[in-house]
Amino acid sequence: MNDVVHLPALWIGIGATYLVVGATVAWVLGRRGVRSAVAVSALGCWPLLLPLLSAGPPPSASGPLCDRIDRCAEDLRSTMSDPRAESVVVVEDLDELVADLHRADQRVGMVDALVVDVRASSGDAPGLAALLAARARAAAEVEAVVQGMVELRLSIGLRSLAGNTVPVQERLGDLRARLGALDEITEFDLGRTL
Amino acid sequence: MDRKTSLLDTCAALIRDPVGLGRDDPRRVLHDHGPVLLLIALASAAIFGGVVGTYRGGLQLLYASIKLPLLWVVPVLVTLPAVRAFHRVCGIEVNYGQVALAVLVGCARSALLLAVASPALWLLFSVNVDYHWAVLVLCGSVLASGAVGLATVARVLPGSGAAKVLANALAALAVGVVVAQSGWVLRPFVARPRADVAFLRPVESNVFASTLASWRSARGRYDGWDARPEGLLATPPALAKETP
Repeated sequence: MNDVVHLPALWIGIGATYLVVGATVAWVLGRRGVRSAVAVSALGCWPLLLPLLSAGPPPSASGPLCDRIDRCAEDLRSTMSDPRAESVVVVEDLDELVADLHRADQRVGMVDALVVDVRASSGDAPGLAALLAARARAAAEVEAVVQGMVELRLSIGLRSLAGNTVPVQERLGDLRARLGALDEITEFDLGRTL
Repeated sequence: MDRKTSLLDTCAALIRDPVGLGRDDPRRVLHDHGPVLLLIALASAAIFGGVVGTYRGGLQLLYASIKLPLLWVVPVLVTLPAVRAFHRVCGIEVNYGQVALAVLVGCARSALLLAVASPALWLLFSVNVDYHWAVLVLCGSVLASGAVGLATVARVLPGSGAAKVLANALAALAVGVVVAQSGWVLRPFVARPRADVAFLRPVESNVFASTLASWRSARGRYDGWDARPEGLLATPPALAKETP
């Protein structure tokens, strides 16, 4: 290793400026409460993460029940894939149900953000009560479907003990249909109220 | 894409459906998946660099593993505003977030493909291939995966018709030139088996003249290697020690 390269001042200046800007961007992102991995990434690759500096935190993709949905789905998935459960593995059906649940949950989250925004700007607007009622109904329905997933898990356990027939696929289909009906119920309720 | 995805899920999405990553809000995807995509790009390029370093072995293995990720990410960071400018000049409305996300997805995907191709390169280097052919194979690999990356960027970004083709051709030209010259500045990646190991060589000549000289040498004509310090960032001759 006898080949030493002396860096000209220009290289050092450019590098130092880049790092200072990166540290500033990372600091600003950190203060806005972004994940630490994002802030650390900004140290070296801040040009890619500059869009996150624009006003407001990044829009969240999750609803209020997001963690619970993920937890229940994970539990049900592990129960279904347990070889001792002798269950029919229908991972695709479960994935579709979980995706539907997240979509419904995200809509509830969007309504929550909307309500906060409207209350801050215009107080209790006339249509707010109807929106809140519809939101409560939608959230309850999502909760009921999540509870249905827990019951399905128990049924699979019962089947492994008593040999009962549990139509897992049909039960998942029922839960999806229940979520699908949510839109129609909400539309009917709003039509009656407004 | 689902909110929670593992590293493996993101790799699968990059290979199967990179456009799907760009469908969501760019700020949200950058926030949720940006670090993972960066990690994939850097780690994949480091794996490929390690394989390239095996041609010389020893310390070059480490040096190439450090420099390949730089080669893959730095030009992308530098040309980001140019890519957006070319699209806007061609009448395609894109915001900075869309461009950043598209470029990050393209970068990660192309680096991942390089990592996937690494075993084949390793096999080739293990049969004592000639140095100049090794350099050309490296250039070819980088060119092929870079083309895939640019095609991915084009697919993720909006627009259609001749304007999109022109905007992406201009972007590809700008990124290509910057990647090529960055590679030249960061060389050597493939060091000669009996050469001394060096992290960087003094900046001299340019990448295009060198590739032509390598092509001539691969065909048995060893001329055109007279190089001299050149460019804004070239090390002044008085400061750089003589290389053997």
